Amino acid sequence: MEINRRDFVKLFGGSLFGLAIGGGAGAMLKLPKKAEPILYSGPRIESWKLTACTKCPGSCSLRIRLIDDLPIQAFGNPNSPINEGGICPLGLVSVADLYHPARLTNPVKKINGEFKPVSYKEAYNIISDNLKNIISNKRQDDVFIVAQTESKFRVELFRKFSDTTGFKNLIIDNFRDGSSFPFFKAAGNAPDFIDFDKCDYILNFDAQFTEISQNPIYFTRKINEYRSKGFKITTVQPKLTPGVAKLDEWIPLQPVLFGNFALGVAYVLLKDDQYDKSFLEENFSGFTDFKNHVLENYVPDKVAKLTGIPAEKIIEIGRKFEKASSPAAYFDESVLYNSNGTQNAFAIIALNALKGFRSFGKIKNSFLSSVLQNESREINITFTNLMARLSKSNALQALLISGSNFVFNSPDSEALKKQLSSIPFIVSFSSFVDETSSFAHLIIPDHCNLEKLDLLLNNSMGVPAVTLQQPVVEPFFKTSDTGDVLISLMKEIKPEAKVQYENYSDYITQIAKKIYSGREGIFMDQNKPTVIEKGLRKIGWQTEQFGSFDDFWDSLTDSGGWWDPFAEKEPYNPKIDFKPAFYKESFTTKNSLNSIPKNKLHLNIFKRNLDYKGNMSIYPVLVEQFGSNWSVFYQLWAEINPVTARSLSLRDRSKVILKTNKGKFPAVLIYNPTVVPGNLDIPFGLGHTILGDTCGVNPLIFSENKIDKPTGKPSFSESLIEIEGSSLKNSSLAEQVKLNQKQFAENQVRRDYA
Amino acid sequence: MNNQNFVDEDETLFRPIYHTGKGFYAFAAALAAIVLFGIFMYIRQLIFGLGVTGMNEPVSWGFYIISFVFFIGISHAGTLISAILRLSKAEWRRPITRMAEVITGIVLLIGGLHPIIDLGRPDRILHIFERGRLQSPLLWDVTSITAYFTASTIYLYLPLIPDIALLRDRGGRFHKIYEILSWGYEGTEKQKHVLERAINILMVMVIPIAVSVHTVISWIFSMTLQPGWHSTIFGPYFVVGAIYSGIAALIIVMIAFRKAYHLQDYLKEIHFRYLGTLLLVMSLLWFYFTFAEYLTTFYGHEPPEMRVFLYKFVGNYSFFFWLMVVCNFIIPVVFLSNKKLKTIGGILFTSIAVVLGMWLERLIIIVPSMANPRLPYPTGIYVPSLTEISLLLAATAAFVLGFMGFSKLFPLVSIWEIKEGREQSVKTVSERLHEYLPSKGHIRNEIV
Amino acid sequence: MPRYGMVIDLNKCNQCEACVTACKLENNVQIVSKENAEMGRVMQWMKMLTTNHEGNYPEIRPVSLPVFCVQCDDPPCIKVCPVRATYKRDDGIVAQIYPQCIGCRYCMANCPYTVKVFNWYKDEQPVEYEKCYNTDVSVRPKGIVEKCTFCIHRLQKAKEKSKAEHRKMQEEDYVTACTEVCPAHAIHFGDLDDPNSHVSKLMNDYRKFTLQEELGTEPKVYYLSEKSQ
Repeated sequence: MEINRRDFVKLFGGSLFGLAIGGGAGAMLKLPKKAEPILYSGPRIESWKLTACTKCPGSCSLRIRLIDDLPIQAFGNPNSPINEGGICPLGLVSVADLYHPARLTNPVKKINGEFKPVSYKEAYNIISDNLKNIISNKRQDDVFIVAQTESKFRVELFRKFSDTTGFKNLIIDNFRDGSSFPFFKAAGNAPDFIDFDKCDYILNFDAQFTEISQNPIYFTRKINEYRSKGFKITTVQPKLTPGVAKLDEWIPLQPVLFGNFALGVAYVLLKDDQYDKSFLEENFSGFTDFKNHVLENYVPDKVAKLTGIPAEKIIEIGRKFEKASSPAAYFDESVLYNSNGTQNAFAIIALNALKGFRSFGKIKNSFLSSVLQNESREINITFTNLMARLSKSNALQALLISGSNFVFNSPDSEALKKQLSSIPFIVSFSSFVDETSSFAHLIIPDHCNLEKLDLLLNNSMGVPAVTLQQPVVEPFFKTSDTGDVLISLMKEIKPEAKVQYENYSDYITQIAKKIYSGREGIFMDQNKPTVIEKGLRKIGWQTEQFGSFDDFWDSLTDSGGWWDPFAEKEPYNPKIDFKPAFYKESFTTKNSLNSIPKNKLHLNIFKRNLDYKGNMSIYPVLVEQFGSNWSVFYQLWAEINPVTARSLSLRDRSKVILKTNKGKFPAVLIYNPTVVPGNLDIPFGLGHTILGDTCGVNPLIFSENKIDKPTGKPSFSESLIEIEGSSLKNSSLAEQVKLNQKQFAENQVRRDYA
Repeated sequence: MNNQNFVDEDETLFRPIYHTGKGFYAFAAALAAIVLFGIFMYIRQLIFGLGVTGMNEPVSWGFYIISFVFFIGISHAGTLISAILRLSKAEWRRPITRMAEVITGIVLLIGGLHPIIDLGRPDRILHIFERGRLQSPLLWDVTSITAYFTASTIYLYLPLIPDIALLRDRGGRFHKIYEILSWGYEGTEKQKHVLERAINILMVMVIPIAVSVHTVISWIFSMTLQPGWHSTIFGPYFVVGAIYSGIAALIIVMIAFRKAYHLQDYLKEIHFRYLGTLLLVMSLLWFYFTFAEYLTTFYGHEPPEMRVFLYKFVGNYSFFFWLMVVCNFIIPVVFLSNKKLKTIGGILFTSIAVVLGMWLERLIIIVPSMANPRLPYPTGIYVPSLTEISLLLAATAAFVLGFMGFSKLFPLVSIWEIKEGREQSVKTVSERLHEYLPSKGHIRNEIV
Repeated sequence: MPRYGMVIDLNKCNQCEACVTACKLENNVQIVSKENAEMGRVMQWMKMLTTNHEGNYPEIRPVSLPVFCVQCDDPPCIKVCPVRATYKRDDGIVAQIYPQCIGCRYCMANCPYTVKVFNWYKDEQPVEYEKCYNTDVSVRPKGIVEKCTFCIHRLQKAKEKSKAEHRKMQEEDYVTACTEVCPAHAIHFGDLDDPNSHVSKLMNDYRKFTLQEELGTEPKVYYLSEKSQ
């Protein structure tokens, strides 16, 4: 029986594969011609190649399985210290990019409103002519470049391009730089990593560690280790996301009030005199002012009135924070998604400063600093500048967009679309015609992730780790690496700059040479060093590992990456220049919970790990899986607390129409008892129209046009929303929220006595 | 031979075979159209897959299985009533038995087709016979339905032989068929005796087979672990329900054909009143079983069982559930225990209500248990699609069409039994009565 | 004979749903259209289920676990299949014979975990998914029941590979797709009868429980969790 079935399965599998391909004859357009005969009757030889995933800053190492040299599946590389064989859903579907039917195969140009294919030469000439024109008219200041990429070296290239050509308005939109922005503004430099081994208490402000963070898979492992040692994590979030659901304490708080809360906790430390005085004397200028301000204005009772968290709770957390020897108040880019996001981040930084940033660290200056000269440069230009410029008519001459879909991530999308239509020249490097690139006049599509060469640096482990992203197949279509285009443009526009590399591969090879010249580190397929080896290394004993550079490069491609487990860490000692403006501005809520009108709920948009920056909707597997934990598919859903829902006479899983002052949209109502009463939680990520088919709605375009002024990030949780046709039974929602807070306090008391 | 010269005292029984009115053809054409539409929808289902129905996960059994159980349930009436009444020597059975047996024959065919319609891969149906596992209740089902079909067809055929002989003697269109089918029956004593014996044997055999059929069908459900199904009472419950629905269907068929073929002389009010009493008894029995089933469920209060229970009583299916109770219990009790309401019209209304109610009962048994799985998945939703509704209508139309076709070939009322009743019953019954009652004659003999 | 089972450590799992995606991609499970999904026909061999919530607000915590075929040692589904299309192998895996199944869906009605999945329509996939089919696994036609088989095609590959290399099959040769990709290393797979395999060692954990053990199906997928279930 078994043998028959196995043979049958083989035959069946092989022939059906062929049939499946042959059956979709129209879909054959999206494969290079040379692949067609193989698909029908290839010898089915399996091979494996290593590359890296670029969907999030984690830069996990992937093993791609190829059959007859066509990529089929992706798995994790068990040798990589970052992911150790694990991989998240985004990485698993990275193969689907290659075969996507909506993928652009040629550079296209907009002629009479439609995109028509042009040759690369023509497209390139259009861009270079336009840019040269702009330079000769001395209007470099009216050009904006928007780049969203998690690869540090690519960011470097963009910076070099911006410096060389003089187009200074470069917006780098990535997770790591977003997380470091408040640090740069407050202290001039940012920490490289958080040391989970040293830390013994974490107060987390809305960072979804295991889902969307600087290194989700590594953090998952580290947090499991951390918790198994018995240390606690308190998370302050507006919604109990699945990844943090196992944490020890959850304080439900709207993100606009984070700053108040952080300073309330700081009050406890200041009052008890339990802060790191020596550190603060050295590094915190203006500390006395700060201390007096906090002691005066952030008494826990006052903070309790503002935030709704009982004063005893604030004091309890303050005590925990001060008792721990190296606590960390952690935040990342997610905290910026509010109208006072940066302000809140400053408050959290100040809270950390009170304990000397002991859990944060930097990697000691090593040869890598020569590689990344501009790594510590802060971000000066953000989306705020772009929006400001766009609001003036005829202000922009050109816009270059790479890897970003910012029209989707903007709440004021109608106005933005109008403004974009008035820009005379827009170039996009995206692989698909999405919401942003549909406004482009010219699209030169980028390679997909499996066709690129790049080095991805990740410092969040505490040691530098570089994963190699290498092309797994020859490029299928006439796409081109954006890096190549930029380098050619640089050489053409400013030949006197003497750019040292021909194309992006060259650039990467030079970086690899620099790493090689450091003579440090090991490859990912070598065994992790034991304690003895580390000790020997400290003494200075090391072996000569690499032969010639070619040997180094071969080993790099075979192993998938390089890392330096012996790298030395140094504590993070920022010089905080806390301007009074940072904290004098009042933190009181702009959206006071006590005055929510009847029938309105508080809209809270949250992100899921299946959608990193709102652009995963091109993958059918992920779109189907998006709502699968609630068994809601291809639709938008809204989570609501059952108590709230019953007071509005709404049943579980009923289809409702939600209304804001910007419009209406349908959703399915889901009962979720972990939602804050009075809130309506709606996921972010649905609503793309990429294959002519839209499923779900983008809730961001229905929320208020509030942004965080310094960074331009939209506010995700400051709007009011109404369910059409719902009737309020007993109390108003404000009263309900008060009831919830009272319950919170009662539960606290019960727990303390238990 | 010229059949118009024969004037039999039971001429009305022969007439439908020789005269066909326009109304018949029109009605048959309409039914045939419905059946053809059903076949078309089924072919569509073969091409596209079972996705054209409304079934999903977790509700993976829908209208097809409901109709299957329902039709097989109706089949019970036929043979069981005919066999039981014959066994108990009830004389009022004589005009009823033929129609009852015909119902069984036709409805078993239709019901037996339904699981095949429900299969995802009907082209692999022979796997059941090549590689079947006798441990599976579905196999028991196949066996028992086949046995029942065979037995009931024979049981239909045997009492039909004398009538075929009568038809053969009259001549007519299908003379040749009648000659073959009548097996040379001439009405001699020996043949009559053999026929009586054969009918008696079958009569006794058919009853356990019939009971086993619906018990086995109920075991398809009660052998599973699902809440609401895993109950020991299902065997008798389904048999009672089957007989109940069968009697109701029988009454409807009888009233319909009585009107169409002017059989008022043969199917008198008293027949319907007796059948109505039987219906009332079955209604009370059915209610007893239902009540026992739900009371034990409710009292035990197991969480998965209660989920199904509440879904039926106050949840999404409460409308169907209470409609079923009204149709199956309240209407029959009200109409059939009241002499004024127990007219033919009242009995017809009750029977239609019962047929509808019993179909709903199958729905209530099957869908809620599947829609409320044990693990905390969201409750399933089942909305029947056009394919399923049209196949249900087509099955009903095929049933009526089959009945009409039969009535054109063979008499609907057993002619020879009526004749036998007229000639011999009075004597037989009075002899029997003398056996029961204390004999005056004996005392008289003593005194004299 | 080995007896394959799985241990899932729920204290490490963070509901990232990588196992769900990996299972779908490895076994060529169909993606359904919007209309079918609304009718409830999404095909997932592995689901992430939120079973209940513990505690009162705000100490409330959801309890989520991946649910898939638990490979019972006394499976209710094989008892009722009329054609032996689902059967239990000697190594404990409950397997499906796709060419044998007639699509009567009786096994689906009897499974108390509701993990069996039916192919309602012909396989019509989005193009970008069709090209990435795993060639080791047959694509099921319409009208067939399917379910998690502990990636049995990988077992066959491992056996062939170890035979070709003239050695015994070892523990690392055969892991299921979900085990391989879990980022938190929460899923452990192996031979429950082998006292040296790390799965057997985890079976000594006091936190162990299985789903619906009171039904007597003897599932071979164990969950470890400190909280009461």
